[in-house]
Amino acid sequence: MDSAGTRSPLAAVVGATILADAALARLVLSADLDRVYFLGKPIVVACAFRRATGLPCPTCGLTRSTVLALHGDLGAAWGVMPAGPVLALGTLAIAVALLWYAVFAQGQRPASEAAARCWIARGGLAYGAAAVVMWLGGWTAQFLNAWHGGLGK
Amino acid sequence: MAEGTAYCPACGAAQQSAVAPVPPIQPATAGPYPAVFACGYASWGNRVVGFLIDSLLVGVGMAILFFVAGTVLASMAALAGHGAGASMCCMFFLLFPVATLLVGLYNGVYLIAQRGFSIGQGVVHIKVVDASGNLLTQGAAFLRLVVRVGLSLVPFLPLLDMLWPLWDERGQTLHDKAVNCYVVNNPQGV
Repeated sequence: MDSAGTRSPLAAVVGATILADAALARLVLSADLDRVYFLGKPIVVACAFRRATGLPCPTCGLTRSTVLALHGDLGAAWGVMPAGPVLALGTLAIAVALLWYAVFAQGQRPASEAAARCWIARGGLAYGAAAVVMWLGGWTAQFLNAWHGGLGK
Repeated sequence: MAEGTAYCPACGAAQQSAVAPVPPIQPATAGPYPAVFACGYASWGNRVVGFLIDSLLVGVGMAILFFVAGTVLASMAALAGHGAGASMCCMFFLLFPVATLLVGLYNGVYLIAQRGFSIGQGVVHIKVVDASGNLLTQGAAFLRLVVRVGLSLVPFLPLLDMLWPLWDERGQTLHDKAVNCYVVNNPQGV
């Protein structure tokens, strides 16, 4: 945290780092509906919980969904796990907001800077709430689907 | 200590006014810097370094739990005829919060309630205090830990929690806000 009225590159550095991480992940990872690929080679792992019980664990599909979302295939990502696109896009939005804050709002009039902080905080809360709902909802749907015999991906 | 000198209750540093009596402690409700925190809020960088040091302890706890739980799950999979080779990614989902809770009972509750800082926070000289500049009670420190563990159950929310001080006026994370506490500089390390 930096005091109001002063400029610090910290927010910009963090925002840029998140975007760079996402770009790197998009570069080296790809996915289809069945698995994730690292530099074109499939990552062959199976969830231990799923293998033992036949039911999806809370994180089943999250990597595929997030990678698909990073590649812009939001429909497929939503189908695999609805939380993936929400988490990916929300994180990217926070990174962009941090860059915007560092470049345009930080060091400006205290009222403007406070308003920018407030909007980022509101966005963060909305993102957190959406992440919880989508993650729990998506997993519950997958779990019930598997429970009733229609085990999906 | 010189008579009549006001000192920060969080870090012990002398306040600017050397002759004024200690002002009544006010809840931190107005302004970016409550008067009681003369040493200032901890920087985000220091908080992250302290968190990473504490995370090493959590990592040790996770390694122990992973070994135990992995043995049990692998045995179950073998008995079910699935053999080895299954991923334990879902175990991290459970083990990280559990290890955070177990390690945090000492590092995040006992130590913070007793002296104000965890092992990692002690290395970077920062301290957790309440709105009056006093140490947290064990109950408040435990609630703070529980909120942090709860957030860690949801993917990506720990990142949001960690980033929050970047835009928060008082440098609080979400788990700080849950118990209205602050992390301040502690240059004297006491």
